Amino acid sequence: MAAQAQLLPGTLDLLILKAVSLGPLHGYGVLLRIGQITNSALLIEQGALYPALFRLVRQELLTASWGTSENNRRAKFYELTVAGRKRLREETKGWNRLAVAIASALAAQPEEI
Amino acid sequence: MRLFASLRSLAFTILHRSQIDREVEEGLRSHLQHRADDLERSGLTRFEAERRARVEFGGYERYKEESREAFAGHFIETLLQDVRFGVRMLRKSPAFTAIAVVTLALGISANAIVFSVLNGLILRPLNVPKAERLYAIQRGKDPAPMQSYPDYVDLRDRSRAFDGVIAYSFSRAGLNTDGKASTAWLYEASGNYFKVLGIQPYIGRFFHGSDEHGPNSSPYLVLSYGYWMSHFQGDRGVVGRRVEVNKHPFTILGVAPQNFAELSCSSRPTSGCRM
Repeated sequence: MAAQAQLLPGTLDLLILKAVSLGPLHGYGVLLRIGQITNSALLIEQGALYPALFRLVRQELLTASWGTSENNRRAKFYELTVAGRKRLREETKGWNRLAVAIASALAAQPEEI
Repeated sequence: MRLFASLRSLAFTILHRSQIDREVEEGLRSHLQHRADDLERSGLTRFEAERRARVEFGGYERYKEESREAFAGHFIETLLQDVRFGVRMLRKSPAFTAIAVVTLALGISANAIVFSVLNGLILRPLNVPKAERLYAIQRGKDPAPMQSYPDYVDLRDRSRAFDGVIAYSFSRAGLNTDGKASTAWLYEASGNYFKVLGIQPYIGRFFHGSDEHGPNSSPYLVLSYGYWMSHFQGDRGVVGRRVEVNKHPFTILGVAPQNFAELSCSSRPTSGCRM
């Protein structure tokens, strides 16, 4: 496994929303999906996922319902709500702005000033 | 109705804590099982896979607690929202708010008055040593423990059931102190009153059983601390002063201690003796 980056505060919620937006997932599935879409470049402690999931359900950005997983085990499946989709769009925009700003700041050369 | 709904949710949070715990725990356990399934497929034994899954999960108890809070916090938050909503609605209809506030204020103050009277009359501790050994003597089924003075003397001198028997009554009297007339609540007490109760004076002295030689024989007065403070400004020179009670001359002997509550009464009268 390549070197992993620490997760910035607040980015876990965004990653969960993105992962679930690609299709309903159970808790462990969210972890796998995030690993897949980030090429496992981010270090996420598995347990940290759950307070975040419960919080997002509480904020009515996700809905949760019990079902049966592909392993034939009971699991809670999460789906994005309309509000969740809207939040994901906004947060994505905000994140992109931030990323562009930081990247351009870090790429600044002396002669450009 | 929204407030009702969120109160129900809050009650649910409180009453169904175990249900919330189960919901959270089941979620976390499901994750561990799925992870262990994956690890088992990669060649570990089931036991080793489950152990590894738990290690990778991180602080299980911590995340469980955080999840529980995230899950249950919902109800508290909506309750807060509803309180804010309620305040906004009240602000919109000031007349209704004023009537409600006045009604509540009246209700609460009426309760407070009733309680303070009860507190003074019944609940206030006596603040005498060995209060548990004090008894009121009652004649037959008559709830008012009134006795004639000769009956009291008989009880005091002939009964051996008690260490001492005291008598007192309670009345309102006109007081004349240096030409200033006022009325006060007054205890007329037997000479042994303070000795039997086991009270020491704050200043001066108390009257004694030996001061008493029949009715109207001992025109002595002991002030309650409160009365001393309010009417004599805590003047220590008050001891030995002459005052008139209902036109009869009385001598002030001393002042009762601050925390001494006269038997069964809410006001703080002066205490007198003229048995």
